[in-house]
Amino acid sequence: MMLFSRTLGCPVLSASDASRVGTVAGLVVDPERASITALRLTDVPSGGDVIPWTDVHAVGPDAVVVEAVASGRFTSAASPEVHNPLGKRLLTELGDQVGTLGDIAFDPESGGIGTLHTSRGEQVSGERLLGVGAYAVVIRVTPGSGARGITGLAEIPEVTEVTEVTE
Amino acid sequence: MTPHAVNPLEPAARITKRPVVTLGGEAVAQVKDVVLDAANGRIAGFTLAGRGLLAGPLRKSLPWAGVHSLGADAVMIPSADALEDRAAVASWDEKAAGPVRGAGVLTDRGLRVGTVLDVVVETGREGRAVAIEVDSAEALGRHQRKVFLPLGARPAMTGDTLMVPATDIEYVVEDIAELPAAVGRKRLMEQGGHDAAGTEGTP
Repeated sequence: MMLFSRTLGCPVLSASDASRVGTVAGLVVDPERASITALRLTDVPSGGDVIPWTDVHAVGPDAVVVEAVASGRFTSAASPEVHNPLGKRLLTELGDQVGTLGDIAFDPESGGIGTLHTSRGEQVSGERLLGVGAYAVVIRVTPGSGARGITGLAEIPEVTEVTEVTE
Repeated sequence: MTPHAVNPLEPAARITKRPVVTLGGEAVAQVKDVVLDAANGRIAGFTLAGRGLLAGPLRKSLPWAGVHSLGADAVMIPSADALEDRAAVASWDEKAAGPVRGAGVLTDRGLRVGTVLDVVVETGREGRAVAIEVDSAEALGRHQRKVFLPLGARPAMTGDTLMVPATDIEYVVEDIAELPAAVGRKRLMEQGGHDAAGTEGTP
């Protein structure tokens, strides 16, 4: 697992000619699959600034390497579904705020999201993601349960020990 | 589920301006007012206002059936489809009419105990109106103090008068923090046999 905050600001290089494609500035998340679907870049000479995860070859500690991408594969971040979730308020499906989204621990191979780190130092399993919108990131109260299958309230997200993530 | 559990409670006035957020994380409106279904002691829905630059009354309303959960920081809805025409909740409003601010609170012994300042609702998914905030009259021994009175499941309400069982006065608390316990005690009494002599639900 890798923390997204460490990838932010990393240079993005092309695997074919080592040319600089841009700089990582954000990410696009598919909450249903709990995975990263695209990276948002800045300093992109070609104009576009969202690159699909399928074009990512490797995410290393010092750089993100992408396949040789035609600039046509880039889309613009102006599209409404492109939200950078880091720093967003974190709401439970019950409408209670449990901090903001501090970081995302993800699998650099698959882009799968392992845990969400809250600003309060809690970790929430990625499978509890319900939605990522312009206003908030929404999480389920209990993992894997159907949205209506909850009776109790006041269940603040399960708290797991905060462990140092090395790597 | 524990039968007597009381969710966190809030005066309806505090829900005003709370954002209405989809489970997808989009804020689509904000609460303008809480509309009560007085006959059933619950929230009928919300009238809405726009957010940000679009602030102002909205042609949409939110019936309680479309609410996923009323939370401390947002009213959650499954999607923007939960919003309905303004008439959907406004008509509830006319039909239900109260416990409105300023209504007199009378016991079934004919004693006036105060006037309604606000209604206290339970957060979560039930939408219950569990108590009223009362500007108390001399009869409560606390003239013009703000007190909280737990409500039965079917409060007896006509226009400008709310009638409560005289025995309910013992559940009055002065601090909203003590209200969940008082509501719990009242529910416990109601469950423990109806020997409290038909005070409940008599019109």
